[in-house]
Amino acid sequence: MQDQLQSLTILFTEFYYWVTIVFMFLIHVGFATYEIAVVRPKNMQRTLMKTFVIIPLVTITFFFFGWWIYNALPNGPGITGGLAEGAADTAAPWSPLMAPNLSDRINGVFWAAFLLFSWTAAAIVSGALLERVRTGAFLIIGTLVGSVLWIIDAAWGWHPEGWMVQVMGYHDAYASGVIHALAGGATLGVLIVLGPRIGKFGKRGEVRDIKPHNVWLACVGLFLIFTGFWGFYVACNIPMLDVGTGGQVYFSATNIYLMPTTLSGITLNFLMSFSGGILAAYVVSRGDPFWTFSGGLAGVIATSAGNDLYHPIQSMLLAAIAVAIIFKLHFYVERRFKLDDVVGAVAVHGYAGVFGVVTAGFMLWGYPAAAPVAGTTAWFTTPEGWPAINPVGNTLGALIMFGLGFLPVYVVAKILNRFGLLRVPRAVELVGLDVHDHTSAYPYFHGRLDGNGLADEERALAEAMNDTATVPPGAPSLGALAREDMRR
Amino acid sequence: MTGLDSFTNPQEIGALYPFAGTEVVLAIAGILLWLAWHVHQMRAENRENEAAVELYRKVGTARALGKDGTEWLPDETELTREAGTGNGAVRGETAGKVTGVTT
Repeated sequence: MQDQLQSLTILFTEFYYWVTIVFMFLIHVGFATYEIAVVRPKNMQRTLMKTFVIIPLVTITFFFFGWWIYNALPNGPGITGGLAEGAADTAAPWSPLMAPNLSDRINGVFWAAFLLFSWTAAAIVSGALLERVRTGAFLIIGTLVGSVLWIIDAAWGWHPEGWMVQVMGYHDAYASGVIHALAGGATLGVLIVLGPRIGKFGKRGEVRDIKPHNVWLACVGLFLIFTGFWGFYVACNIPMLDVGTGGQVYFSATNIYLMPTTLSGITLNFLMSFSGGILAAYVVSRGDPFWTFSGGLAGVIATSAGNDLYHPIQSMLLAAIAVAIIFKLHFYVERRFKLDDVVGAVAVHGYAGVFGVVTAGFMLWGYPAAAPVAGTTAWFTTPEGWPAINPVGNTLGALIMFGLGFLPVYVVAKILNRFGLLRVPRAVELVGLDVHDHTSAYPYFHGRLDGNGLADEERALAEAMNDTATVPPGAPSLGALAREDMRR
Repeated sequence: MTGLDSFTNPQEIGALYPFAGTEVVLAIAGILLWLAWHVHQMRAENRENEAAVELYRKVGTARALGKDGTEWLPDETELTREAGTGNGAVRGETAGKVTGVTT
């Protein structure tokens, strides 16, 4: 570090990313909380272990090869060039820069910020498969998604020199496609092979609602994910960079493509898209707590691709529209294709992510995507010759993201299934995944059959109220019900 | 000596960790351990599932389903004892739920 300004910039950037990492841990506290709340008590401990153990597996594999993939593959390879020069010097597991080193202070925290994105990509797949997937199968699939697939598409569509950015003008500032569409596609790939839980669909094909065992805790988990999402958002930025041109010095925060934005602006957009998603979800789900909370998440995801540049009210409206669409689509797919997505991950992440990338292509049509790389020709350019954001590039990009998640994971799931390694035996699924080598998750809770007679009393009271609770013909129903309630 | 013996002239110091130069060996060891972990986990899970299925064959899946059918874990010790003495009372509706279930 040569001078005070450079030293300050480097040390601030190091600390900035470190803070984002701590915040992003909360995403995974949230995932663990809501997944164990969603499952039935007989599956809680296995669910927790599955969700937790994927974290170290993605961590070590992201150290071994994930970070090298991001640094080595922006050109494809074979699309706009070969393997990127210097990737091994920076990111191979034997690089001296992948360890405490006084000559570099950014590589480790930047690696870790990307690692926390990797955890998120893997965790998104987890929730949909609950209550029947084998732990070992998920750990393989999660590692594939977290340390290989998403980071390939990050090299292509999130690296300032990635071929999708440079050629297609792909823009996805906060990972609608890079993380969410990809993970949603991967989730769909497994779900098709895995099949629904026993009892999810009746003999006539009717959909049964298997309730979370603790809706309140599930919503707290989603709240924690929102909190951690702040770390995710700011980790997608460079906090201080000289973006001045023509010799003018102009320091600004930038998006992941090194194009200027402001932390203030993304804060506005995060909160407005979050709110638009919640309000729409409350309406379309008629106040269902799980979907209302999930709507906030889907709203942010559906606008993340352009939340570096949108107006906050644009974010709010786009989020609301997306949430209405993905909510309907989730239940249509569930009914039509008998897809048992326990937490709605394909909808909240996959459909919302695709929506976000496609709409950003239209909304930001003509904006500069990134500084041009010499020797690369973009499909669409700005008047200054920079790659330009456009609907074609982003729509194709969304399909690439979703497909890059779907296809490889579908193939791996088929292979695991072929060897009987994807799904637990039917008897184990029926009796509960925790049954062997574990005790009950609630050993001191006896359930209603062993209760103190309260359930019987409630039932008797309800039966006694059957006649009196009837709304008289012609009476305003709300008033009648209110009067009925006052009799107690 | 394992690494550094002075922090004088920090601008000339690179790697801070001991045994610099062994990074490739460390990486290979780490990758092998990762792969071995997956193999171990898969085998353990296989054994666990096989043992559970064997127990349910012995005692009957209906009895293993326990109190409320799909909500609460059975007590494995109790199940085994019941199966051994032939003394296990299976709730009628629970047994009905799982008629025809095979593993």
